[in-house]
Amino acid sequence: MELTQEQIVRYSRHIMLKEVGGEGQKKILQSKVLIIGAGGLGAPVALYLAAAGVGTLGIVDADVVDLTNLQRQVIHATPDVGKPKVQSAQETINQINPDVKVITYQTLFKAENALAILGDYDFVVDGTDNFPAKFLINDACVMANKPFSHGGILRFDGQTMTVLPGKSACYRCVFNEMPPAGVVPTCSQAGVLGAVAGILGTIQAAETLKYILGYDDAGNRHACSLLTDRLLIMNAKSMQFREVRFKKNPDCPVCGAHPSINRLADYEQKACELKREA
Amino acid sequence: MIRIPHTIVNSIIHTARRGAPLETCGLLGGQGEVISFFYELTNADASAEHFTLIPEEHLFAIKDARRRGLNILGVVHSHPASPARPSEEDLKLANDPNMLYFILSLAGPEPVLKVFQIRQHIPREVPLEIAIGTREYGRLVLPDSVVQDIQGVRHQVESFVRKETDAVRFRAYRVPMGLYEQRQDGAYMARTRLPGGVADAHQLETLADLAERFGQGVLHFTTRQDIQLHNLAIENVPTVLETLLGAGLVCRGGGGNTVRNITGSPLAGLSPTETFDILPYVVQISEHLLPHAGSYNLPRKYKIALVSEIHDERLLRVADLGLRARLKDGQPGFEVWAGGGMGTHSLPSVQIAEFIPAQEAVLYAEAIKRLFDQYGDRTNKHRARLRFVVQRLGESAFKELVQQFLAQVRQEIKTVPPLRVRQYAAVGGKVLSELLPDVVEGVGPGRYAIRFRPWLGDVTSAELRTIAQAVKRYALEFRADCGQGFYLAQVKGEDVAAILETLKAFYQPVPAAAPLACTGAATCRLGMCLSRGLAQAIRETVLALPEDRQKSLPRIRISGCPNSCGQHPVAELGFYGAAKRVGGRLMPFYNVVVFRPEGKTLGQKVGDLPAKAVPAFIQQLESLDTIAETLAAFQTYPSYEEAPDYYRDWGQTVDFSLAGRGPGECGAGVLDVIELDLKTAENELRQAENSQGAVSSAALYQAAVAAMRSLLIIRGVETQKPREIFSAFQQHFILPGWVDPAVEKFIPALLDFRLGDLADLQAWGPLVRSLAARIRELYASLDGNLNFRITPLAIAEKAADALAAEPASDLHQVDLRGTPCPMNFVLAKLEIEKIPVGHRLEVYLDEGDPIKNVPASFQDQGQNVEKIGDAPGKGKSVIIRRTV
Repeated sequence: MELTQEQIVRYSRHIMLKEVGGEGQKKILQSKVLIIGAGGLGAPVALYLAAAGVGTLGIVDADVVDLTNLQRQVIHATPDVGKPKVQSAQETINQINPDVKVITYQTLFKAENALAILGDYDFVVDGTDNFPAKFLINDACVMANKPFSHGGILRFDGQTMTVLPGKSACYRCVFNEMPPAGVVPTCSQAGVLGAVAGILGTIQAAETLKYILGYDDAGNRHACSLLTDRLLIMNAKSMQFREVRFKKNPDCPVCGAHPSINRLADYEQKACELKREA
Repeated sequence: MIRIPHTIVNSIIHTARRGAPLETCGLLGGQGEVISFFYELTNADASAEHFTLIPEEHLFAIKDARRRGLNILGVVHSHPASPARPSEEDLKLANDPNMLYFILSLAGPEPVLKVFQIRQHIPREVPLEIAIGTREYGRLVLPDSVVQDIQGVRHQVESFVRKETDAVRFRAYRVPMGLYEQRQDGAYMARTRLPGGVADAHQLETLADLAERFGQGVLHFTTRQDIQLHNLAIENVPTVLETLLGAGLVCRGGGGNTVRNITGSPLAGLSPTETFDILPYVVQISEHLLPHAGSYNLPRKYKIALVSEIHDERLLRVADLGLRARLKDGQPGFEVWAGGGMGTHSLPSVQIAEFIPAQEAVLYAEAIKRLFDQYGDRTNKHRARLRFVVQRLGESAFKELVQQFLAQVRQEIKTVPPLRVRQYAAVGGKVLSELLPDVVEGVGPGRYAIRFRPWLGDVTSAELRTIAQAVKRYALEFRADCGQGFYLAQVKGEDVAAILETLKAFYQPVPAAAPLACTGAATCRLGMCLSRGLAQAIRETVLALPEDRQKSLPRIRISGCPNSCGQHPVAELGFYGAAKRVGGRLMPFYNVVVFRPEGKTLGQKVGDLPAKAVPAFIQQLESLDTIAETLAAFQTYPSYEEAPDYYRDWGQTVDFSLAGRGPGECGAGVLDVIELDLKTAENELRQAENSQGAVSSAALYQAAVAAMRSLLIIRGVETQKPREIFSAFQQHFILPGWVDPAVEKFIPALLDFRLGDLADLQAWGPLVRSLAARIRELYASLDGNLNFRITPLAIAEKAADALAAEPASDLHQVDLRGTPCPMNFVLAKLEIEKIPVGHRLEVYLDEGDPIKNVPASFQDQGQNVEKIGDAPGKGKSVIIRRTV
């Protein structure tokens, strides 16, 4: 492919970078990224990847835009309340960058459709807000050998890591099992500072772009390294970032040498107790 | 709540322990509720139960505190055998309700310090906080960013140890952290900066402990008030830096292209001969520059020196920014000098301002930093220091620029509080050198300062601990100086003898017997000569001289190569290493330099002589005024057969060689030798052209040998034997394609000529000429790591073969005139991605920013900018070779 004049201008600040260049920008334009969840994390991820010119963005979300979403889900606007989130996100992305093709999936990400949706995407971003989905995404990505970025936020805290199945530790290497329902509250129970979603989401977007550019190992000549084998944990109150390092667990139930999880299942844990009662 | 720094508490405890069983006493200065200065005073009663201050000392402390901008907040005394509460006597004598009464008890297993206010003879205890890292006189508060940088070291080091970071990238990280790799692989040096040379006993002990645990007990005092730890294993570096940080010490900015340690006259605040106490300004400028990330990514290093004593003024002229303390109408201020520096190309600084109010010093430091950042030549580190900016722009344009940047800085930094400084009404303190050399009068009644010169700045951990103990025991102030040594100040007259006895190993009252020397070729890849060996020889020579001759000689400074690590440009008598070919062999040599402190320039070379002749020369040197005559007697060199020793450096039993030396950073020494050989080749070529027959052939032969030999040194080959030269040249230059392959066929002819089987070489004349030209070209393209920046002929040819289908030229063009920045770079970059690696792209650009910015951007991205010039009819042009 050749860059058009408009693309050269649009992406000039990328092209100037030693680590991107025209070749790197073409890689971005040809890449396909799946974002699961068009909420607090998915919104900044989708906005930045769209602006960066990711050629195909798949967006999975079953919900419609709610007024309570707008405090942090910056891809949706007030007139979008009531619209399916995937549609609202698609409209915003189209306005930002006509280069981006958006594929929408207005459904929950479930065991039965997971592998079909993952399809031929190059990279997956976990922007979900509940443990069953996070474990499912991890297991599905490991089985389908899809690299992905895990992200999670709560109150003033956030955490993220990048997983290259087979190469680096997966989410289950770190968190073997999900916590029992109710032990860890979700955003809608406990609240979240909107900007924390932005911080975490943009980190995930940066990881996505680095992966697309081919910086998936420490030996690349530009010294970019992905957030693999380390969990980045941030707290916006003290505004401190720290890293917890770990290794691939050889006994991991999904990516270990003898995996005990061999097929996908929808895990039992209610995402939000309060919402159900409401 | 009263706050007192833990260092002062330590001083109080040490003083009390030393004085026990008698009570000791002192006064505490500070501001508000913060104590920042301790005056140890004499207990006139010399009693175990009560104390009285001596009025003279009391008055001195009050005046001194006032000069420092402090108040006397408290009085402290010890209770060697009773609890930390006021005695009946204490309550009876306490009559100042505002005074804080500190009592240190040594009665229990641990010392206890308490503080009371006493009103109408009734004590009330005041809460006391012993603070770590609070502001103290002369000590900087480490900026958070620097603390965080150091906390990041562990991660960086671990990543390097796990081989996730390669050595080159790690070097770029570690050098600005003050970490250098030593000549032996895997050993590191950490340079701890001491602004103004200040360190307390606890810090010295920390350094000693770290050297002992991790550095084989080796420490080194530098010429810029740093203390270095050596032989550190990389795995231990994080622990070392974290421990140093815990003691308030940092290495950040100890090396690399950073704001280096800010030096000050070592006895600042402790000397009656100083103009005023500059130490607060050393601290202020350090605290201003250290937190900025920009201070660690300058074109080259940025050295700042503050000077308040006449004998330190030489340092003013060789600093990037030199500030000389001045008083004008009684107000403290500075004379400003900028753009000085020592290296292979030393230049004295130029005067920027005759007098600026003292509080503007920090503005100048910032302005010069910005100017340097913007105008320093980042593409050529050998010409990157500020002095080359001055040289390039000219003095007046440079001064104008300083004013521009200063105006910018003034916009941003509106107010700088003037610091309170100690100031003396008249300069009149006397040096008591008639009493004892190197013992000078200090401030305060009966106080002295003693100068110590450990041999070449080296001390062991045990020795440093002894120094630290002396500092504690005698309540001294330690200051590192700018000459590989240190001062101990605030010495009481009665303690002088005991301290000299304790530290006699470092007390060298004959300056000439304590030369200052760089590390030399033994451990430095740049070095040519073994400067330390010469220093030892000089010491022995000087100490054998009669006493009056010993005293008449100045301190000698020795650099092993033209780089000025041994400070030879500011030495009253200096030497720097060189090599000369004598009868085809290399002889270690020294150039002799003389510096007149009153002169306008740096030291001037007055001649040279063999390294082995230096001690005899010093022995015969009557006076610096007749140095030329003395030197003239050393201008005949013995042949190898007569005196092989002359061809060996000090302490060596093998012949002198430069093989294996690299330029590393500057490499001037090696380059000199290459230059020498190349000149020889070119002279012989001229000789060949201007003569005929056998003479001409012989000259051609010599030219070929010299040309081939010249660059072998950078491949680690140093030999005189033609056959070895030819075979090494074949291996290192012909086969890899650096020179015309036809030279290969020429070598048999050279061998035949040498053996007499061939009489005439003239047919080879054009080849020798092109060879010499090619070698000159290769030499000119050497970069700082001794790599050629031009492509081998063989590779260029192969590339041409591979592209036989394409036009012969590997030069592609794009015309980007009319395209503004930065879009011109974006488009040029897209063009260069289209051409194969190894090919060149010529970009036509507009004058001004485009031709300035685009080549710099390519350079930044690792492409090779080969040529910038005019393209007739097409504006400016830059040719870039695609390397990545």
